[in-house]
Amino acid sequence: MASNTDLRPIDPAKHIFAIPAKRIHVQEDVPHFITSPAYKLITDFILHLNASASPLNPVTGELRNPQNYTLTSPTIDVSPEVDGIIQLIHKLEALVAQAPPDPGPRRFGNTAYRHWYALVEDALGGPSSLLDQYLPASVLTPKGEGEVTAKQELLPYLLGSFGSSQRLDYGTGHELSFLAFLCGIWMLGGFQAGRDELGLALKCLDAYLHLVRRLVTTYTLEPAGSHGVWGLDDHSFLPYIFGSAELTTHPPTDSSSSSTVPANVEGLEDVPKPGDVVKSLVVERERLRNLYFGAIGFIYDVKKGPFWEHSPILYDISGVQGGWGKINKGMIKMFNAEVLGKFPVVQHFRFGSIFNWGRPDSSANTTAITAGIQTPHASGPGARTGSGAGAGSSVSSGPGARAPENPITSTAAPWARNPTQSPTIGSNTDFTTRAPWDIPASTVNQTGSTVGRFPAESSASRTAPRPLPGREPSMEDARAPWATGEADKHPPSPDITQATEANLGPRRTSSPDSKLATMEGEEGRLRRGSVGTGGVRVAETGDLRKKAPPPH
Amino acid sequence: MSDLDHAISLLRSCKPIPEPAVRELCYKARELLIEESNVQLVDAPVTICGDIHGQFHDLMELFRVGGDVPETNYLFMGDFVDRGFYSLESFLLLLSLKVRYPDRITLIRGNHESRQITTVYGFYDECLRKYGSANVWRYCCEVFDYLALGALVVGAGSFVGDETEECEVEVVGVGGDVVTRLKRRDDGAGLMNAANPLQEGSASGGDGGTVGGPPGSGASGSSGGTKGVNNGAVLCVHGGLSPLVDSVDKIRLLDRKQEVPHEGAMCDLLWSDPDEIDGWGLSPRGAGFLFGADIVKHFNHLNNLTLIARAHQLVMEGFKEMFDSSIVTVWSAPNYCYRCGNVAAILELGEERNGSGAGAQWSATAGRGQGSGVVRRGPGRRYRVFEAAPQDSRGMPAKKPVADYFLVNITFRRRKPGVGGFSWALFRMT
Repeated sequence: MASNTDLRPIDPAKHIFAIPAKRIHVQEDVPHFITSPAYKLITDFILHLNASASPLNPVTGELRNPQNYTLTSPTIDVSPEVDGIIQLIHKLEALVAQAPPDPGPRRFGNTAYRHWYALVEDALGGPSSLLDQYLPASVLTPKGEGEVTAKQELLPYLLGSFGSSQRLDYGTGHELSFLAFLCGIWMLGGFQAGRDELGLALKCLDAYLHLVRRLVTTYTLEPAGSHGVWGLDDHSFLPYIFGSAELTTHPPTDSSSSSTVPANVEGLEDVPKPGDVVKSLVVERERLRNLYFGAIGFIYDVKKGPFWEHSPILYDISGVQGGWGKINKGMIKMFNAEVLGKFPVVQHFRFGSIFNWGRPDSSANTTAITAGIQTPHASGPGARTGSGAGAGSSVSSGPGARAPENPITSTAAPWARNPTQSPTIGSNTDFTTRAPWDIPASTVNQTGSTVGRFPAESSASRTAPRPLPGREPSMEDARAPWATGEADKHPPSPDITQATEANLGPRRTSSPDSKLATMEGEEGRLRRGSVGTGGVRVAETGDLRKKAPPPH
Repeated sequence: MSDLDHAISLLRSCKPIPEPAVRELCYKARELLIEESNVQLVDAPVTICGDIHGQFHDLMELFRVGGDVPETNYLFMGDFVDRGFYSLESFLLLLSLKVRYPDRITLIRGNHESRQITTVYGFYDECLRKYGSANVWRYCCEVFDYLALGALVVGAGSFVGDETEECEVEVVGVGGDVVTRLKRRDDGAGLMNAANPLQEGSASGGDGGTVGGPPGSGASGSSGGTKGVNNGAVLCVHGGLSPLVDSVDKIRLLDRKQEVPHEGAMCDLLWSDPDEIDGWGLSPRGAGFLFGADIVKHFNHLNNLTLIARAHQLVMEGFKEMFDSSIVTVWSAPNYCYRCGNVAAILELGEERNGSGAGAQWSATAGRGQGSGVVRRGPGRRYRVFEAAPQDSRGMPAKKPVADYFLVNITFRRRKPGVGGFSWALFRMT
């Protein structure tokens, strides 16, 4: 097994926990996230599981029987601890039966999902939480009066794993939350290194994906932030990482060089080829054995049309000549850039004592992960990027590990902005486009109202948010400003000032941003980007490893 | 055959045109669009269409169902690009038709016709993939800045159907058969009865439909029109209303030739959604607002509108009338994203017939409710519903271009415009 020095567990009894909170409020926070201990922990955990999920030992180059690395393999050791998580997921899945989808016309997402989600909150919260029942007891060591417990810190990650009850969507951000939940238990000593990796990466993830797919189909959950055909997958990413690891039987090769497959290992001939994803028969055969094909199979289930057209990225990847090892490596790079590096995704991630937001640390290894399963000939064990005693080992031991300013709030779903809000909001969120500059309401709205989100504004304007119609939590009271002349200074009463405003166009006409917007050509775009108001910069700065194309 | 006609025929067969041709086309389109008003005036008859999102084959199906250009007048309410595989071909075809038949087709801007949104939601990636550079994306974005923000349809007739059976609403289902006909109720109940399958359950109960002055008076946005104004007009906009805009004239005063701002009137028109609320609400989209029935009815009353047609939201049935038929959502991308299972629709507004227009009968329409005021009648509306185009004829591409993440040499660049050799700098997802 690969080195796990960075994933050395901590002692829950001595550890000071914190209620996790969101820290990524604006695009500019993402670069700091990339240097944070939390980022390092996440990537270390993924790389560790990834290395363990492959029949090819990344250190020694030894190749094991690939058939022992399938989802259905009887040789996978499912420990009671891992099985507890799987049982927990099954329990949550059983709740779907208690929340049948609402019949009758609807635009897209089924609001009965909120019912299921409320059942989950009930089952996981409170004194008789399913967590107490199914998590390793050592993880949930009781704490003293007034101290934050491990359960309180872990619960938000699990609650955030199943989609947004407000927006009725599910995406890779939720998947990331589940990974963090597992990683948190790992860091508290709930799993055993060298024994549980396969169980977690394959069995546990498979159970989770089974639940998620059932939720998506039962409640027609929208793909969160869907890019349509231009995303890898509408909902998932991890099955492509660990699934390609399962199939990696030789190191990534360049298309020019011939692969060096050891001949005397059993089960090699049954490993599907990357190009097989377009063969529905092979997909049907492999989808229960492999996470990658499981995800492809789900696409076949829900999408109608030519595969190359509705899933062009996966189609292109199926033509990669370097084999599964190359695909695995590419998937990790892509995950790093497209999930961990993207503000719209990671803005919802929560940071506490385990996933530490930290401060910019000169000793922190800021190198992004660049490789999946290493080529044993090319690099030794120590070459694994991001290894070594860096920020990771101080994640939870040092005094800085304690998040200083976590508000004492009730645990809520990280992605549900307001679980108790009027359903009229959510009913309008189905399969819609969200503004990429959209930022969490908590950073703007200091009143505690969480009814919605605001268009991003410059930091200057955010400190003094403009009055918005309907900002009150009770939107029923909000009226058309011009109809009543009350509530807001904005817009002004219908007089010459309003006409002037309309004449001038959007309210921000006088800001540098919209001036720039009217500038001709390249310069305006570039300068506008440097002003930094949103999604374009998501693309421009999200990928630290590789320069994203400046959209011009 | 002119260059333009050649481009149209290429695009009709879903083939991208060479980069210099795109540049030329976009230049001509801008010259044309710059002359258009923010709220373009359109005469009925016209067929109103909602989101397309790069679903080229379904756009062809739309033309098959609704009639081809220039035989049929079209008004597209934006969101031509993003998410689908053929945003480029779809948008360029519509644009070339616009340049070729400027009076036969009207294009207005959707929230996806924006640099920032297309960078996130796919069109940028698509251009890079199909041309190997962002030039074409840039040309298109420059056109986006010139698209009108809305349109005002005037001269629409009050009835659909033939002389013998005049109806207010007709729904033509998949396959071309009329599935629903609704007669106009002249007994004062208007369209507000719950039995009307086209409508939302009970709208908020406010009457809002009472009208004081004669049509055509007040802050009407139809001053530029001479015919049919007394029948009220239909405002077409991609998203909806804005708290900053209480009249169509206010829209006319905006400076639209810019990237869609993050807030303000122009942003709201492209981003807002109607909802079952009173007044205004925050939009979960993070841009624009939610607005309720009272807002719509008030706005329509002030502006002498009988209907607002908008797109912007997936509707499983293809269209959805709300708030006593004062606003309708039209959605024209069937089986959205290959998976939603929805049908699509287009809305046909017919021409007013001489002597039988609603204007003549309008005053005869009894008041509703307590008898106060008069119901303004909407135009006759024919919805044509259609499904996704058959897909069997689409062959698998021979090449399997590779994404950068999966290459050794990430500086890899090779291309010829329009064919293979793709390079992806980045593709995104959340």
